[in-house]
Amino acid sequence: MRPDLPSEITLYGLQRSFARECHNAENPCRRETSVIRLIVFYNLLPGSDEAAFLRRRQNERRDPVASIPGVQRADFGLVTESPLPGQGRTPNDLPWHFMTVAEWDTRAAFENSFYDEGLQAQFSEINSKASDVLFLVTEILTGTDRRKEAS
Amino acid sequence: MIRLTVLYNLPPGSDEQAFLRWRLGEHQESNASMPGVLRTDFGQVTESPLPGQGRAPNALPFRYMTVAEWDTREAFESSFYEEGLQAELADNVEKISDAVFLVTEILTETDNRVNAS
Repeated sequence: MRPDLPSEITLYGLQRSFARECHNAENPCRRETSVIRLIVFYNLLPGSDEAAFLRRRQNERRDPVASIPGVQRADFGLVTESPLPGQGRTPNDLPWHFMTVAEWDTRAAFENSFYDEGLQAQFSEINSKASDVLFLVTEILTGTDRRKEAS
Repeated sequence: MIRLTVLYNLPPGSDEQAFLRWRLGEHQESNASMPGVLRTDFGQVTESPLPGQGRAPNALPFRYMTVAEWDTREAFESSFYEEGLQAELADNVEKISDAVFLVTEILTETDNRVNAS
């Protein structure tokens, strides 16, 4: 396991047992099973037709990132609030209005896919049609899924 | 589905190891036991790629991310905006910096694992 992380790692059902098996192993096995999540936050360019964008995004352009090689799960959402912690429903400006997520099962799968030149060219084009675009790549270290535990 | 995403850093001088032990242990349990939460996870942000620029280095605006999901807007609101939870949040954000909380209504979802099975 990565030396900079505590040894008790949980990651949903399957990975949790895997992490236990690898608890004392001197190899980076957990890293190979980590979910990699790409989140893209963005706004539309000024003057864009948001209603038309949302219609298209929920119909003919539904989860286009789901067809990127290796993507296991993808979703798209509308950011509705940016609460100030501890301040309840106090209004706050939204830094972004939209969020797209894609997940890969492994770091290797993510890198092979995301950094492909053709895909990078597509991202460059998409970037020119949006504003305030922020890409974040996150290695998921722990997770709990009540739906899986209940089933 | 309603998703809460929290992006944040640690204040300068923080003990990152101690934070990770707390965050991966008791705090994960605490988040997972919030009323109505169906799924919650925590991760370390490793890259903030510039679109179309491949592996060109870029500063990370945030180092950590927490996600929690509720099935409905009603379930989220009765859980997240509850006074006790808000007070707890106010305490917990003392441990972090640059926190941004985002509530997202998920409009579309594609799960290729389900589609493949």
